[in-house]
Amino acid sequence: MGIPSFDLDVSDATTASVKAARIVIYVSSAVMTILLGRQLVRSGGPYFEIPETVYDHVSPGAPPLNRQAIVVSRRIAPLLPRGASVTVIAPELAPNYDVTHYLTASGFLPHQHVVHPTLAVGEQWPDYVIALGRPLDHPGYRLVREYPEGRLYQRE
Amino acid sequence: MTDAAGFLAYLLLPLIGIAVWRLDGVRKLAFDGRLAIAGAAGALIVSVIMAVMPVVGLHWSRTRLVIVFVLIVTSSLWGRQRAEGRRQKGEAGGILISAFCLLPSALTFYGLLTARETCGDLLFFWGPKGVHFFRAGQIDLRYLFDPNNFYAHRDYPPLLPLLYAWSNTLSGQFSWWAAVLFTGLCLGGITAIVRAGTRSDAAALLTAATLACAFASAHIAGAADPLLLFFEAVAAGALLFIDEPRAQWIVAAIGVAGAVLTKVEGLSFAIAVVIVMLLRSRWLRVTVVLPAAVLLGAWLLVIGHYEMFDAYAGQGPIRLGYLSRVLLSTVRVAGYDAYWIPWIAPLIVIALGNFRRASVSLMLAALTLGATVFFYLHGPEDPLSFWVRSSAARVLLTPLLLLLMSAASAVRPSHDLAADDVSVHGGGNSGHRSDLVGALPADR
Repeated sequence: MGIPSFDLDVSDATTASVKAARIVIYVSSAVMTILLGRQLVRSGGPYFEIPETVYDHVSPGAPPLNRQAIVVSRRIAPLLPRGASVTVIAPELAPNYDVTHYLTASGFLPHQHVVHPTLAVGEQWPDYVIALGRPLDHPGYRLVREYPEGRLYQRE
Repeated sequence: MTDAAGFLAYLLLPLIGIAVWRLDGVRKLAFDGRLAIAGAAGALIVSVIMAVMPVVGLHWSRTRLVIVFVLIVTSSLWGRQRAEGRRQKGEAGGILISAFCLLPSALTFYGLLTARETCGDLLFFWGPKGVHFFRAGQIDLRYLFDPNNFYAHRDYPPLLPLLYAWSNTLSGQFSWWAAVLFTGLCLGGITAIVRAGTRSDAAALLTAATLACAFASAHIAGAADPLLLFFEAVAAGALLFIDEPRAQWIVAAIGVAGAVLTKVEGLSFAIAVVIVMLLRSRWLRVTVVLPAAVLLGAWLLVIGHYEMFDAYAGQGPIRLGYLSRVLLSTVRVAGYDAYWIPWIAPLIVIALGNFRRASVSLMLAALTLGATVFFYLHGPEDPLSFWVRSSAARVLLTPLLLLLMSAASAVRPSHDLAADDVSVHGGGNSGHRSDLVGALPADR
């Protein structure tokens, strides 16, 4: 037993194939490491800052709405009463809301009841709505707070 | 402080599982390999104990959990000290991993710390489950079975959320960063197992570079996939690289049990292990899946009791007409933004190395790849739509890992095996090599 080494012993293989296997490993590993670096660069800067959320750089360009859901949920968490029902939507997607937005909030608002968006007439409306992106235009809700990442609405 | 405490919880897992160091077959591995196997054992111990405590009326608290785990560590260390006295020469291995192996891992940690590899599933259900389990002091069935959380996949196995709840217990607030960084620990653990098992830095380098590249492309940080791969590496590593039968059985059982409790796909891996063992007429080795069957059976009983089957209920009839489109979609995704080098490189290495040694893990790779295609053929959607594109990069990591382990087996230095036999089994245990490793006399 000893310290692991770079030696390859391929028993019944020839010396040439051992050398070839070693070259394949080194070259492919180097190439994949470079490609890994390229992938990391592609997702955009800043490159040497700890981001605000764990979802900041998953794709290049504008921050994803799930990232905005995290930021708004954190900010409004102290404002919401315990047990209040709340949902998170991107109004521009109505009526086919993206369920991942409220699922995301369920991890950041553990003291509230985060629910599926039910905002149509005749449905049980939640106490609060977090709107990502565009403002919410709904007769049953009034604006409570506004942040760069989204808005908080309360049921009237 | 929250993040440091949350990450510390994961770093403590090897200490909680250190009892496995008493096994001869584990003791002779290099330090990093032993650490990884102890980490797997610790993760399984923590999750099983946290699942069972509320059943006997003990809801989690920091004090209770710390007391239980300190007792486990103390008894493990005490037993280990006694075992040290019986230790035979030749157990040591190297601690330092070469700079080559560290580079892809370092880039991965950079990607994790700058939020470039995070998986949406961490935000959508793995993390929230951990948070709600912690708040409830138990596996929160009320949260799981709430119709609002239907998309949180209520019947997914609970191991990862339990580990997240353990982290939350130490940190007070859930650390999302610690959850993301846990992926880096899993990558390090897999690399360590390959390196310690093969005693080849080259094999470890190929594994680390390939998986680091694939992890970044698939965006799996914080999801269950890295942990699933880690457990699969433990199980496959035991079957391939540990030659002492008792240690091989226990470590493989830990790996398979951890895999089935981490993701639904872990069941496919367990079935693949059974098939390979049966094909090779290793009847006793089939029993490595028994602990996994008991633990998963208990979870499915709970889910079945509340009639909440979802993922385990299947997707309906097979659609063979989808075959060409499933294969096309899957192959496209399998490139991992690296021109399929992650697959091509290990295949070439296997071709250049000892093919026979690679046969066990190659069979596992083929079976798990077949299982992936099989399940995609049962999909409710057209294979060219969202489902395959969004999941194949993660699901294919299992056959990719097993292909890498095949390559590692094919180039495994044989002189170390012989040396181990002399040093560890020379004192009365000689002749008791595992049936799998022992099945390769021509290789040595």
